[in-house]
Amino acid sequence: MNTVLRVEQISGGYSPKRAIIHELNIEIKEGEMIGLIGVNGAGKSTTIKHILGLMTPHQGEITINGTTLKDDVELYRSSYTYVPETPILFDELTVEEHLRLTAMAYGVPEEQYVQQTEQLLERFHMTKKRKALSAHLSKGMKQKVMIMSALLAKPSLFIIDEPFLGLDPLGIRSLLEDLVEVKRGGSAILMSSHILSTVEHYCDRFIMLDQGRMVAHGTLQDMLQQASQHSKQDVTTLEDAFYAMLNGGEA
Amino acid sequence: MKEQSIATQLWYERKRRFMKEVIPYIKYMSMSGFPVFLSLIGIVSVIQYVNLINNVPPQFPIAWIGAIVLTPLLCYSPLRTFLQDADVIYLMPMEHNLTGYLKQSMIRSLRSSTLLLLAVLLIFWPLYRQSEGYIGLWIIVVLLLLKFFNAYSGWQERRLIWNYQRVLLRTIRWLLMFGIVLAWLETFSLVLTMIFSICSVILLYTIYRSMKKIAFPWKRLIDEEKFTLRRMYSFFNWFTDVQAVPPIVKKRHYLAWLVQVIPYRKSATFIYLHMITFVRTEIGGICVRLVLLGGLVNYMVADSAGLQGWGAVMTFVLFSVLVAIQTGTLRNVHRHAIWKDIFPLSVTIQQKQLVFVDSLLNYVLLFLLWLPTFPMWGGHAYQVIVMLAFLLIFPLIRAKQLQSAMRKEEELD
Repeated sequence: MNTVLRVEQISGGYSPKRAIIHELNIEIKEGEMIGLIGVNGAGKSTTIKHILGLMTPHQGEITINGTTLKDDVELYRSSYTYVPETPILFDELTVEEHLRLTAMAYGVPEEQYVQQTEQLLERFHMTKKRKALSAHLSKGMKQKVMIMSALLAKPSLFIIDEPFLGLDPLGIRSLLEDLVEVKRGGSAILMSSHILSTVEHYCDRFIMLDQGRMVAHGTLQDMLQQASQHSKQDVTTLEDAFYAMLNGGEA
Repeated sequence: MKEQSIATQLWYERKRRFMKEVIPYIKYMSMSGFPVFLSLIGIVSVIQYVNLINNVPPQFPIAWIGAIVLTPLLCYSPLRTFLQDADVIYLMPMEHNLTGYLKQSMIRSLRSSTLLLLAVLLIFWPLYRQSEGYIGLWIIVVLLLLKFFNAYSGWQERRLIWNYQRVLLRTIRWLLMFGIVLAWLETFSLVLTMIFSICSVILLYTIYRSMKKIAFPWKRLIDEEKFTLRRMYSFFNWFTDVQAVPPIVKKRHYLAWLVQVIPYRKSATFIYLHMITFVRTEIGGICVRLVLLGGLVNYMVADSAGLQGWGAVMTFVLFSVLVAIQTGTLRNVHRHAIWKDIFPLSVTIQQKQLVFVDSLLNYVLLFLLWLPTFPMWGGHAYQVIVMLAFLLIFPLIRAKQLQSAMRKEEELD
């Protein structure tokens, strides 16, 4: 399988003098879903911002499908799509127009756009809201628009930050089913989330950050094993592993 | 009593804070040459107006013009309350003690709008004196009484529960007031005019009394305050970067068809975004109003061929510049949108697409402003050529300016 995202020895932060993330290495292959986990302030969002190209790393290199942002801005950006933690929509656009705008930006063929839009609106129970202005949507609905836009763009990498916030149970179910589909289609997913009980069933591997450093990584089994070495108690879930590694052995 | 005085103090404190915030922008505006530009327009208008006063045509509709100009000033009663969203939580508990607070807003509003009405009446006076319905200083008394009634009506309408009731009553009030002002300026029969005025006022008063109202229309007052601030900052935005005020978004179906024309392709992504933004935000609304007003003014000036046809050239250029200033603000709406840095389109392409939208809008709107000058197309070829040259060249110059401004902004960002 080809590598989609490669993050090599990345350090960076808002100030050139003070790094928030330190020498991170991440590799995601086609069809893989990676869970980025850690407490608030662990460096998850900063890592994502570096990958998106919104922040320039102090050192190291990030490539998506072998291309860096410097090599080719358009190619780099067309390889990923992003779902932010807080939905950021254009207030002037309706739901339908948002989907159209995203599809246009990513060069989705028109026929495909028309067909997929109908399917997505139906699946996310948004058909009745298609003509509604974004400014008039609830937070959960806005999040659905963000997710639908990302699914419509269908690039090789999905970067998803806390996608379950604001979604109702039906929305969460639809999203997870879609992400599984996306994986099957060969795209890679980097998902940051605090809902560990959900992500442990869907992610292939996990990267755990603490104070900007990678403290553990691997499959669920790897994470449980690493945590067991720290803990005196049984570690059976990702949540146990998370507490064990962050609380110095107390699961 | 103590709480009333605290509320009044709060009003003054908020007014002071507002003035402190706005004064730097006024300074920027005054340094921009805009007042000089306005003065020039004022001088030209005075010359034209003096000519008109000295040679009023026999059938000139003085009363109609007076009614058109004076009615909006009579009816429009804006209310600056300085209220904010958080007041619903913090001030609502002391709602019954806010009389002093509100009184300050009402006095200020009534004073400024009455002064404006009197100022315009003063300008209109030399023309009014020559009308057949001239009744001397009594017209001032009538207008002042009506002004007070309109201030009262405006407040009662704000208190109505449903918005459609407010819109409907306001429309009825404006139409009745237009009729009353016209009747007083024509004054065919003093008795009938008086009966019509009194009946209209009693009718409106009875309607307001009989309708269900809210004691303190918090949401409406806060929305009105936001709207006023948004307008003000949009104006200052012409001269300098001001704090971001979220734009009002309306569907505007009558303009939305424009967006459907844009082809579905990657190279039109930001054209699509900016066109929708133009249509749905206040920028589009203001441009439509400017084109309608400018078209009317251009037609009237062209029809009278004032200043040997140069009057129309001047009004055409003036409204073109005003329209261009509005379309220029389009670039600020999404200037800091994250998607500009996420969507797979380079900054250069995004900028080109914005410049394209700006040029297209300017060509179309300027053309619409030029069309109503047709009464002078036959006899003033030179002036018409000047206007056409302006129409063709001005959007090109703007495009260059816009590109350079965006490059500078990009460096700053």
